[in-house]
Amino acid sequence: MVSKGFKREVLSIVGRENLWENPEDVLCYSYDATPLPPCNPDLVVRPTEEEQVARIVLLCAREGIPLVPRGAGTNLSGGVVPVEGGVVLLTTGLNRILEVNREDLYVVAQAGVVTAKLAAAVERVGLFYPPDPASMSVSTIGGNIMENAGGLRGLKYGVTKDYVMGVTFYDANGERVVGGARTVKCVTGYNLSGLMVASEGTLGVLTQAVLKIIPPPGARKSMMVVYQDIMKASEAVSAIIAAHVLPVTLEVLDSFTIGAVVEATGVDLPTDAGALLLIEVDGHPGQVEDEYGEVATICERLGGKVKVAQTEAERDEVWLARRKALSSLARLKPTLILEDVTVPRSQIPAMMAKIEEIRGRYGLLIGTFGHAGDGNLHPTFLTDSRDRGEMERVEEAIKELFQGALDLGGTLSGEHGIGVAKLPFLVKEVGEGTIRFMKRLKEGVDPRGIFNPQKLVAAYERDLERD
Amino acid sequence: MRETLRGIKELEELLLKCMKCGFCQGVCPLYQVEALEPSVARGKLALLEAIHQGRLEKAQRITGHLEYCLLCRRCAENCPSGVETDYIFFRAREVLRGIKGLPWYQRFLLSMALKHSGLTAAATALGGALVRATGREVAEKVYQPPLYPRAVVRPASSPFISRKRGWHRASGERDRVILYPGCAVNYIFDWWGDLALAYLTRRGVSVWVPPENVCCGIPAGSMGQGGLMRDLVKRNWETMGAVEASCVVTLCPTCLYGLSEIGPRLADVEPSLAVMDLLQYVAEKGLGEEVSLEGVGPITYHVPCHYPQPGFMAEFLKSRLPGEWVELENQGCCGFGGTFALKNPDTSMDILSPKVSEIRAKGIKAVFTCCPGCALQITQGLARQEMGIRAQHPLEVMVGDE
Repeated sequence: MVSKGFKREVLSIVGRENLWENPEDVLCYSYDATPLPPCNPDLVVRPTEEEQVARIVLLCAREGIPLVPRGAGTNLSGGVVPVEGGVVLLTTGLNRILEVNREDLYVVAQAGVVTAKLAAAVERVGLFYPPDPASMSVSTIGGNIMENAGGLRGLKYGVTKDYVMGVTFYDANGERVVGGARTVKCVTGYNLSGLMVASEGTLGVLTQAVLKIIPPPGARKSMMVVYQDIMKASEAVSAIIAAHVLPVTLEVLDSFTIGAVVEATGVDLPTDAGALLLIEVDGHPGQVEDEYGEVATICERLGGKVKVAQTEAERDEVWLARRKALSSLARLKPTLILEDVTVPRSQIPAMMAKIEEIRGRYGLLIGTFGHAGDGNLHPTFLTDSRDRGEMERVEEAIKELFQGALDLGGTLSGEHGIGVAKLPFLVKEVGEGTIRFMKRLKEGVDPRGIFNPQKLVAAYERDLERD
Repeated sequence: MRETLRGIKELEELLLKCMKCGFCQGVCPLYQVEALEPSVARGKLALLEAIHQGRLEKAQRITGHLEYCLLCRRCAENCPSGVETDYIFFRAREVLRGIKGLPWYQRFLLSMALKHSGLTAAATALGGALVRATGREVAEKVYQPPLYPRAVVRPASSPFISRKRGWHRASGERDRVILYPGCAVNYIFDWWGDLALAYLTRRGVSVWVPPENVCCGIPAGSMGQGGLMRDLVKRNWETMGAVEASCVVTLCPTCLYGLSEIGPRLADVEPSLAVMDLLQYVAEKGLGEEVSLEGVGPITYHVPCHYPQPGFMAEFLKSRLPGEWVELENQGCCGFGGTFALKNPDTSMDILSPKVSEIRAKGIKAVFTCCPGCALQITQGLARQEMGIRAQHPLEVMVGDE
């Protein structure tokens, strides 16, 4: 609980119109897009100027009150659930694009700018901001950086971290910290931009970022490849990467997902297929033709039937199937648990086999789709949170899934983060030494542990002690 | 309280479908201006869920949150999980208003509109005369009354239905339809009704106008008066079902939504006739001729929320009314939302504001829309910008020189 005096002080910083404390208002900030128990914050504040952030942080640090920064709340690991209550700080009041620089190819934006709006502003001047997380129509740049959001174009263009040139954030002393620069190269001190990426709000409150933008590709070509067998499709993915071709996007849909998409949307897909690969190559027109030829040859050699989108409308149709994958699955059952295990690309066939094996053994509904070209799969568990027996099986299956990914040299999370959802499994991936190092880092910059407590680091000690 | 819980429990299965992805933020007109979670569907669903799970005790405290919504249905249309947000919100408002009655002015409005249609007609006629006598005309049929912050479209001197009820037979009859005007056309945009009637009958379509104005029920439903809404839906279908006609033609997307979509779902009735917008009917039957708007300057069209987005009937209008069409970047809601605009006039105008700014910046000379609510709202916005035009129904120019 926060004291009346504390509330009064926060009020004097942000004003009545940017502070909420009624149960029904704060309840709307008790969750994110992760199926986890909600936790209410005590206060919700929305600074509209960056210097207000400094003052709020100082207040929280003085009183030891938890501070959880929040953008659009679309994250998938519980990262913005205020598990210890305290203050939720909305970044949505800091939503200005400060500079789009065409000469030096960067954009400066405040943390609360919506990703799609940033991408559109960049496109209007003839340039390109590639990271395209599925939630980009609503997600914020701050959230993307804090979670290192991925997307469909990761294979060729990388993910959010590859575009962060600089950051501005407020630390636990309320000091303004600036990392990186507006230059392509910069080696002045610790790589603070890199440190902030994927820090999940545990080190400070990000208020601004300098992001790299690039010239857009001149041409592109999309295709759909139909396989009878998902293992063949997986082999094709590994073979394309091994042949050193980098499509922009190389996505897979398993037969269960294909069926769900057809049922939900009526999109014309081959329902008897074992799997679909959706592939796009881009670049100079000549390069696009060459790469398309190579990709098609590999796919056909492994028994795939290649269908190229001839028009923009056909291209849209190819991608509609992918865009509708998650929502089509979501309609089947009340609870959806979306995982994002990621393995080295050569291990995609093995990971796919593991998922199939788990599905069979646990008798669960699992639809798998995802960024196969990145080694990043989205096995999606469809269940009902009210069915305790089934939920227990789901939990067991997820544990096995994680272990399977780690055994193949992979990672628990390619793009959703650790938050609270994957916390218990982290030590298995990184080891105790790494956890202790991260923890010392956290304690060094946030000694009272106010920033997003119980996410990532704060809980490690507890877990380690238990072991 | 127990009854409230039971009412909300009925919605459990529907609430569970929300996976809290938050994608509704991207399409919610309120979220676009406020960026606050309680304004958007995900927040409202979370509140209902909290009541159901006992995490929030005082159900009446969320009434305001549930009613703070334009019922534009954009979240439902775009929900990845297919959550029927509009149905849930109508039902929830009814349950919540069951514990906390309506404020007096909303009760008054409802009883005027629904029970005392004669009185309403007299009041609108009086209002119309007053507006014309005391107001300054800022655009055709648009007046700026003294001591009132907004420009208004003048109310009808005499309601459309009282002038045009019953059959209007076309010579060389090729079809028969019911023209359901709805309250806004009946009391304010009466000339839309006249134009529709003339346009159809001159093209061989006989038209039947209902004998009295029975509201579609959406305003009642949005005020949580579910029982009243269901009665109205049933009454309309009892009356219209007995008429020998091929379909019902409306001049209001919200009436269409109330008569043929959400209304029947809530009232559990099976509409006996198809309901379609006048433009849709004209397009389907291939009625009428091309009328050129070349030379008018840039023109644009606003698609009402209760019609399929994006671009419902836009292609038809472009081919029927060739001219310098400009597609607005802002394809969002106009911010009207019926009773929403009455209760939240400032927010309502904030939602509209970027659209009108764009209209002004692009030098648009004519704005078309096929919804009286949108037309009222956009006209107010245009008047604020002193643009000297009002939003028109495409029919107003489709008639050409007739």
